[in-house]
Amino acid sequence: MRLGLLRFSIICLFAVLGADIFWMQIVQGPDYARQSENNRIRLVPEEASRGTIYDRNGIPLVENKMGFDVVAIPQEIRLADQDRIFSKLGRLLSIDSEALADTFAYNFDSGFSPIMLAADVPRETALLVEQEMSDLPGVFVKTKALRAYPCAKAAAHVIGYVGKMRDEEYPQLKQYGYRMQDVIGRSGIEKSFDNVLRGKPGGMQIEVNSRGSIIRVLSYRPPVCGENVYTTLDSKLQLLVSECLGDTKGAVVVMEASSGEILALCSGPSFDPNVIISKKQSAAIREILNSSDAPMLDRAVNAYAPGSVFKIVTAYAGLLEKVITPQTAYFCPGHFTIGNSTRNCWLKSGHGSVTVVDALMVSCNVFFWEMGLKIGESRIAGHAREFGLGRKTDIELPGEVSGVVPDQGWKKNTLHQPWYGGDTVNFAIGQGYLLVTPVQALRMVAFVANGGYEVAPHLVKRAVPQREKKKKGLNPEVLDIILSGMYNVVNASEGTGQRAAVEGVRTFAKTGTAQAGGGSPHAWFLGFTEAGKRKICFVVFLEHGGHGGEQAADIARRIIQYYKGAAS
Amino acid sequence: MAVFSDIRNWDRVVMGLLALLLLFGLVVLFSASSQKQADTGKNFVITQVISLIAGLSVMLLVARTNYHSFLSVAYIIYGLQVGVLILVLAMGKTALGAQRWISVGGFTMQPSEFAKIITILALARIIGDAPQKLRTVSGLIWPLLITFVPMLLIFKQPDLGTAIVFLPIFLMMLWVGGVRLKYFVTIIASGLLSLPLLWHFLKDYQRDRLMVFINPDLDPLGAGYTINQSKIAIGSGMFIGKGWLAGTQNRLSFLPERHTDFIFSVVGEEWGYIGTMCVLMVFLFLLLRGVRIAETTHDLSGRLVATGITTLLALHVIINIGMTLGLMPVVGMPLPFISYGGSALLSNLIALGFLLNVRLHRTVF
Repeated sequence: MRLGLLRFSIICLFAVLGADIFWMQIVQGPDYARQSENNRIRLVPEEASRGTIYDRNGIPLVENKMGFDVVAIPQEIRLADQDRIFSKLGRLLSIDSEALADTFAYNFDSGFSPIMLAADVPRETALLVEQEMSDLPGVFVKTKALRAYPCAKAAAHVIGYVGKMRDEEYPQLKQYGYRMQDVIGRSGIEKSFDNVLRGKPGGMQIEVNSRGSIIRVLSYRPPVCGENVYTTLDSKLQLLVSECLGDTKGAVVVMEASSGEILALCSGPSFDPNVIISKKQSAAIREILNSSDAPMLDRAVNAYAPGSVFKIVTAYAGLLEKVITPQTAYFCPGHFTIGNSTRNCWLKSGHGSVTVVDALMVSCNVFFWEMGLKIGESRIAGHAREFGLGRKTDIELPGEVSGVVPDQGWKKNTLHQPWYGGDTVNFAIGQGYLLVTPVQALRMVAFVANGGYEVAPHLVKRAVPQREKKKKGLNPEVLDIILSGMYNVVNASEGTGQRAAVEGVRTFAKTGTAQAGGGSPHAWFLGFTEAGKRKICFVVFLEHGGHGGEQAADIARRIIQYYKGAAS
Repeated sequence: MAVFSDIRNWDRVVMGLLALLLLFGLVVLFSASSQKQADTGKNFVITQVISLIAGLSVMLLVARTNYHSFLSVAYIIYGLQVGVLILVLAMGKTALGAQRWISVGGFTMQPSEFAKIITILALARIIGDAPQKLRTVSGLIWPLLITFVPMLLIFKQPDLGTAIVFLPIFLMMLWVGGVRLKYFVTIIASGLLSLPLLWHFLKDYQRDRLMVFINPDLDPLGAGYTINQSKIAIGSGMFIGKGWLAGTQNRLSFLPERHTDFIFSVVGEEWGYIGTMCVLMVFLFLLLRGVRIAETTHDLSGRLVATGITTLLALHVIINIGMTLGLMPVVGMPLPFISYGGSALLSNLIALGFLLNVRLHRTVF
């Protein structure tokens, strides 16, 4: 019978197992029993140092520094010694000895799990404890790599910070080689490039005597350092932008038009990542987490109503679809009636007869309402998507949202309501359901600056300069017409963004003042400036920041001045 | 209850041995999890008993429905299974692309557990339907495909330990199905020859793990440490063991994963040579009973099901115990019916259900 093979195999393999068990338990049993009695094999993990993050000029944006923890291993502290050890340690650390004993008792887990007695002690104290070690059996100083963020608040959202893995995250991360209690990136580049930055931990298996001193090293594996990340950021500009933004709610992003390299990215109000990662400043951390201004939120990748900056898209749609020509003029009496409701242009006296270039310059709403109705929502939405709206930029930051480009189908699916003419009118001037992130708005400007080509905004230098998205692009002739409007915004006497004008520099821009629930409108100011051969795109967004031509334009002017200085 | 009406016809040897393993398993688990229970407040024994009740009910249902009914839908289940495996793989891919560490975790394990049993059914169907085809080379192609498609999908997951189990099952079913000796030898030989090739398809960390098996010092903090501690635990149990709840390796938390994959080390430490031999013997009797059931079944497809299931359970037992003894690489395979963990318990009970099924319905012919 062929099944004999199966029976034979099972019996043979079981015989091997049985023989090995006999060998281990009977022949070598006493040896193993001795080893188990003096089981003093310890694991001493050695953390790998985390990679550094640099700016485009090689200036480090994070630092690694050494931190010291004082820990105790309960198995090695004899009950009789406890009082003496804690009182001595208490003196060295200037902590009440009873508090130490309490911490010890409260955190007891098992004989071999180290108990944290004091976290982040100063270097001098650590040295003191180290010197007295022979008199403090079972007490150790553990070194660990700490992260420091020299830019502090200035680059908190883009750099991010690190933190200990939570227990519930472990099962998911286990399969990527993470270990329990690992330090992982929690936001920004620290998070999105965690797999690059983190090294591979090493460590030793050692044998210790009854007092916990090493007898011999059984085996050792050196840790492997994490790799560095080279960003496209310009730390000088980053500091400048962060200073301009201050604690105002909003976001400022600057990007090189041709490459998509982000030069600065700020979200306000900001927070100090050094505080978030510290163990001692729980009150300050709570203040950050509970603040109603939501400082942890990265506003650069969150979506808002764009207001009049969207008129760039509407103008493009109108010209490309031949709804208007550059010469077509509409009369703005200062108000506009659709159905039985009348809305006012922002200039109540009216702009008079305006062409598309004038309408961009003075940001006339009536012109775009009239034209928008003729184009229709589906064509506006189509062109908005061509400009990359409603689609993530895939910038290397966690939490990016894709925004919303509304149309009939979207409204029906999401709100279960029909689309009205009033919706089209709102849509045409960037109001209503439309939502855009500052980084998306920046990519939209880059389309105009690049003569119709798309770039992907990114923060980390790429080996191959990208031009991979060289699909058909937008119509450059139409963009030229829009450009002259955007030039006039800054340079003509009636332009809405004159406050951004800097002598001797060509700047193209568009202001936006988006009605938003609960307070002042959102202020937008976006465009690009020529710095030598480079074109530098910028977007300034101030949440409830008033008129786009005011404070937002002032911040833009500082950026333009920075590049004027850099170019000359 | 109708479910139990024919319990007298059930294979008493299998039921008795299973009862021994399950009861002893709970006793060992109580000891192995006591420290962890004190730490986490979670009662592992109660959780295991609940999974056990669920698992036994499913086993009863599986055993009562004539296995021919299962075989008649084997290809459909098999197709669904392959679909699920592809889905798991695809989901894992996109999740990795969007954000490097989104989980498919937990979910990845379960389909591969059941894939083993479903593949056995599909193989039993195709060989049992037309055994004469095995006499030709072209007749081997379909059985080969049926085995390798899920195996490679699981290998890609990547779950090397589960994937490798498919090969012995396939070979044994082919052999019992009546393949010619010269084809059988050729398949084994070409398999052995292509092993070095396999090395190239392994992921870095899988290679690392195999290298650690050859030289445990390569990973002093991971597998190497576990193996060392497991050997000390088993060896130090000596002849009569340290006694229940008295194993120091166990109680002092030296042994990682001692309530799951390394529960046999706790048996060795606390119950000594007597305990390990008893467990080994009970498993041996159970498996030999499985071989016996296959032998006494005249229906070829039934015999093939019994063969496949017995091989599967044998592999689970041998790989797990071999791992705790340091004879096999650490691949993360629990000890059937004894290790803590609901999904492995369920799939092993279902497997046993099919063995009981073949025995129960043997009088058809």
